Amino acid sequence: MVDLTAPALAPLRRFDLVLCGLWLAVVAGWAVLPGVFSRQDPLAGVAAERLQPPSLRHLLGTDHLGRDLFARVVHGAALSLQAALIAVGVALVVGSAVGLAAGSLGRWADALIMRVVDVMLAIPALLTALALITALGFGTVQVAVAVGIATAATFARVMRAEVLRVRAAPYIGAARCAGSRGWWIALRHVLPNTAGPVLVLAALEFGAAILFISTLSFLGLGAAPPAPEWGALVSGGRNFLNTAWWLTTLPSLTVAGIVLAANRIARELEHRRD
Amino acid sequence: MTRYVAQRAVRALFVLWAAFTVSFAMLYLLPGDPVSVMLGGSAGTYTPAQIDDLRSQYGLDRSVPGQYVTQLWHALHGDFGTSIRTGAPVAPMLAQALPQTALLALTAFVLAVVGGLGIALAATSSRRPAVRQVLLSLPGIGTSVPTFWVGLLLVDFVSFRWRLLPALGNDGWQSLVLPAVTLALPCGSVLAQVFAKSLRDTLREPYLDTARAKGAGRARVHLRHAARNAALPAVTLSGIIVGNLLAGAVVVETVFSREGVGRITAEAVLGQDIPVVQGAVVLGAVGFVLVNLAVDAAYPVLDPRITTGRPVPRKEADPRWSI
Repeated sequence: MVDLTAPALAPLRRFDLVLCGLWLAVVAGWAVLPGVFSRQDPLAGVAAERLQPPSLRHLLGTDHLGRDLFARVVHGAALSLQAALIAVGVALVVGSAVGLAAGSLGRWADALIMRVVDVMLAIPALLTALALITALGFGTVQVAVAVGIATAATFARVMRAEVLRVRAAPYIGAARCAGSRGWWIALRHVLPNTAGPVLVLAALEFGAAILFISTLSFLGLGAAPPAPEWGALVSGGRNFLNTAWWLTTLPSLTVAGIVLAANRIARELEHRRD
Repeated sequence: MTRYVAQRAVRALFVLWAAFTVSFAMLYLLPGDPVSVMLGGSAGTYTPAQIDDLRSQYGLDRSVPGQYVTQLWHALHGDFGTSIRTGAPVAPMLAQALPQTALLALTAFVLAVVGGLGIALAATSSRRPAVRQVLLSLPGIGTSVPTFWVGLLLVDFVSFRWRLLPALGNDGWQSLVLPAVTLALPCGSVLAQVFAKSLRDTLREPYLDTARAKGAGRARVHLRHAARNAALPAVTLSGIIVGNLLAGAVVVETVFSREGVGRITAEAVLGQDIPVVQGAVVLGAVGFVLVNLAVDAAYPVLDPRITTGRPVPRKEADPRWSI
C-alpha cells in the first residue's frame, strides 16, 4: 500500500506540484501567444472536415462548422483567464477595502459593515452574480465583475480578521504614540501585514472563479457566440451530445484540469503559511 | 431556550429584509437605466412617451427612496411585481414552479448528505492508506469538475447510450434521478471535505482514547462517539448548501430542461427581467433563512452547551464555496 503522506515520498508530492505548475504555465501560454500553440483558425471552419473525432490533425476534433476544437480551446484561454483574473482582482480589492474599513473603524461602523457582509454570504453567490449581470448586461467583463463582487464578502471577512489581529501588535501602538493618524496607520502599517492570508485566499478563489465564470458562460451570459469562451464551447456542443462527445467533454476536462491544478497549488501555499 | 429561539427568529427576519434591500440596490441602483435594460436592444424603437409610460408603470419615475419603500411594502404583502416579458405576476409564477425545484433540491440534499458523510466515514475508518487517499481525493475532484458537464455526461451515457432514464422533462421519479445526482455532486463533495476534516480532528481527542481503552471497536468509536461531535461543522454548512442547491438548480434545470424556479431564473436573466430576478434572489434568501432556523434548532440537540450558556469551542465551517 502506498501512503502518499509518508515523508519518504515527499519528492513525489513535489513532483505533482511541479506538474500542476507546468500545466498552468502552458495554459497561460495559450492566453498570451495562442498562435504558437495552434496554427489553425479558431473562427473559420473547413466545411469538409466537420464533426471529426480527435486525431493527430485535429487534436480535440472539430465542431459542426469544421472549426478545430483545440484551436478554439487555446484561443479561448485569453478570454476565460482574463475574466478569472478580473473577478479575483475585483473581489480582492473590494473585499479588502471593506474588510480594512470595518476592522479599522471599529464600533458601530464595523458592526454595520459586517452585517451587510453576512447578508452577502447568505445569498448564494450564483444568485448575486446573476442579479448583477441582469443589471450590468452580458459580456466577459460584466460576468467577471459580477463574479468578483459576488465573492468579495469572503475577502472582507478574512481581511477584517487579519486587521483585528495586526492592530493588537505593539508596533501599531507605537505608531499611534508617534502621532500617526488612523487612516495612515491602516494603510501604511496594517495593510501590508495582512497581505499573506488574503493573497492565499485569492489563490484559492482563482480556481473557483474559473469554474464560476465557465458556468455563467455556459448559461449564455458571457461573450457573444463566435468568441471561444470555455463555458460557451461546452454549451455549443450540447446539440451534438450523442454524435460528437468531444465537443462537450474535452473543453470541460480542460476546465476541470485547470481548476484542480490551481487548487492544488493554492492549498500548498495555504499549507506553507500555516 | 425561548430567548435563543427568539434571537434566531429576529436574525432571520433581518436577513430577509437585508436580502431584499441588497437585491434592490443591485438591480435598481447600479449605473444604467432599468427601463432601457428591460427593453434590451430594442429601446430605440420606442417613442419617448412610451418609455415614460413604462417608467411610471413600474414606479421608476419616483425618487429612489420612494421606489424602495413602495416595493418593500408590496413585497411584505407577497407582491413582487409583474414579469416584464410575460406580464404575469412574479410571486405566483415562482410559487407554481417551486414544488418541482424543492423536490429536486431535497432529493439532491439527501443524496449529498448520504454520499458525502458516507465517503468521509469510509475514508477515516479505512485501515488502508491507499484507500483512504483515494477516498479523500474524490471530493476535491467533485468540486473541480463543471456541474453542467457532469449533467451532460449523465445524459449522454445513461439516457442516450444505455436508455435507462429519461434525459429531459419532469415526469415522475425517473426524470428526477439524473438532475438530483448532478446537483448533489458538488454539495456532497463539500460536505465530505468538511466532515472528513472534522472527523480526523475529533478522532484525536482524548475522550476517544478513553473509548478505545474501554474496548470500543472501530465502528463504535466512529459512529457512536466521534460522528455526533464531528457533525457540527457539517450541520452549520447545510444552510449554505441548501442556498446553493437552489442556485445550482439554475444550471441543472437548464441542462435537463426541467420546469422549475432555476430555469425561470436563467431565462429571466437572459431576458433581463428585473422583477423576476429579484423574486428569485429573495426566494433563495428565504430558503437559506428557513434552513438556518432548522439548523439553529438542531444545534442544542447535538451540543447542549449551546443553549445552557457554557463556553463552546468554536467550530466554524468554511463558508467558501464553489459551484
